[in-house]
Amino acid sequence: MMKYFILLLSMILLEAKVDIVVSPSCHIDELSSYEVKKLFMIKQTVIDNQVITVLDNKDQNLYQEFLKEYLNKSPRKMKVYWTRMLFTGKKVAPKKFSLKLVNSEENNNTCYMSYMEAKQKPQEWSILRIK
Amino acid sequence: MKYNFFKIILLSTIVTTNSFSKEWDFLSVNGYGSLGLAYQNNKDVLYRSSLQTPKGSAGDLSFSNYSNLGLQIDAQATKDLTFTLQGILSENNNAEGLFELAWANAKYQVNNNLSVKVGKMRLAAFMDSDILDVAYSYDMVKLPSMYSNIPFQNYSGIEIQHQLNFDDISLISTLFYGQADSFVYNNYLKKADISLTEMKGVMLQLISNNLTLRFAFNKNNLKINEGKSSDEMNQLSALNIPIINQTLQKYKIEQIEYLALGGKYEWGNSYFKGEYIKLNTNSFLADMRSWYLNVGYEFENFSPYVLYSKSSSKSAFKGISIEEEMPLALRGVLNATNQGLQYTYNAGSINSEVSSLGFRYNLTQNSVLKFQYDYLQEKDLVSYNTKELIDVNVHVFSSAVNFIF
Repeated sequence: MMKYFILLLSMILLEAKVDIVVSPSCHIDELSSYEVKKLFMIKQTVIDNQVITVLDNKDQNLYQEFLKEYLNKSPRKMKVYWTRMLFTGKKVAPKKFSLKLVNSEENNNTCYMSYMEAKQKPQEWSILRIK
Repeated sequence: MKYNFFKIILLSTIVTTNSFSKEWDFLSVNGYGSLGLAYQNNKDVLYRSSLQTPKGSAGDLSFSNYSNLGLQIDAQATKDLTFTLQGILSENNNAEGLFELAWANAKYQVNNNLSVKVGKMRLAAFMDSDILDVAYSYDMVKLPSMYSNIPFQNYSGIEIQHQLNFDDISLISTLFYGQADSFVYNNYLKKADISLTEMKGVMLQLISNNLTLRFAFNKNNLKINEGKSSDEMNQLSALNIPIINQTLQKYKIEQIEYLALGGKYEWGNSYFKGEYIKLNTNSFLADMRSWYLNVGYEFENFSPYVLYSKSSSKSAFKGISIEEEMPLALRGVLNATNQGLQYTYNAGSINSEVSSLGFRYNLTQNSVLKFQYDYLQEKDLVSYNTKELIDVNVHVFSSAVNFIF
């Protein structure tokens, strides 16, 4: 019994906590969970007159955790969603987060939004409160 | 085949662009495909996947039904302007040869809620019409019969789309105007050219967290030319017999319109989906009603589903009544007219019930394997061999591997 309890506890502890983070150019402190969903499905790209560019995380486990917690979708459902959007010319899936991309000079003023564990967050970026 | 040169240029452009796209950030090249087969054991039935092909399974194994390959180039010219080109190789195309340019349009995003598209586009008659060829994106091997009974898949014109967002609800309104040239192989497998002008349509889609509801209405001017039978009708008309001309005039093929309704509800890993279409021509062509219900469940990599669909045809046309006291020669001509009109009705009518069972299995992140069994019951079907009207029950086995890249 103790063995299962430890296993369960370690699974809970190992489960990454996913935070929504934004680059310094973004003037946003908090968002509703609806807004997070719409932004990451690119159904909405503007909040308070600010254009937001969302970026997905390369880490598949973190991606799955994010989908479950914020979008309530399975990876397969998201894959189908982006396939449909792509081949109907509506929109393309977000690019992947990389320091090279977000730190490039031409993207200095872009408001980026992504998700990651707090410890992975670039120093100047901030964590959003989710209502 | 008058655009062959253009098509070759386009195909080679797609291939060469693929190799440069990694360096050109504004370009993306993506593709999809299916390798599929269908088998049914009745030689009197031609089981095909679209009205645009005379090929399919006639008591044998067919690779024509589901196999295709598509490539798409998207170019982001400016922040708000994108270009999309999509070419498809398939036997079930809306084109004379294997190759069809399915999408070729420019999209301008006016603001966050409004966009305008100009060029060639898929006609989104049903919920999955615009991704009909991208089978990776749906569970079934073959979408319900109503999808293949619409005689036109594309149009060239303009589409305006507006999206209204509330908290967790979006209302998407689409208006379009355009024209299209198409063709069908009718139930006698005779080719008929179709020309649609002044295509006007509206679509409304309400999307919430788990529920999608859809309404579409489309009205078009229609011209059909089916070679020999069209010539025969013209000859009958030239006889200048009032009762024939009145009938031909009354039931003249001038317009086609449809009303389509659809809905999908998802709860947990399950979904429930249904669609309905009413297609009218107000002529001696068959009007069609079709609906289906589909239930599915998604396990981690395995998704079984069941489907029931029904399609039926009827016509507003009633044959010209032939009286005993009419001169013999006139009775002969009226008989020929009735037969001609009946042929036109039979050529386009459909009366079928399909019960289907199938599954999708995720092979890799980008590929799926599917299997589907259909029990098809058809009434007044034109026999593939004798061309007589027959009633049939058919067992169809289909399988496909769908992939994206």
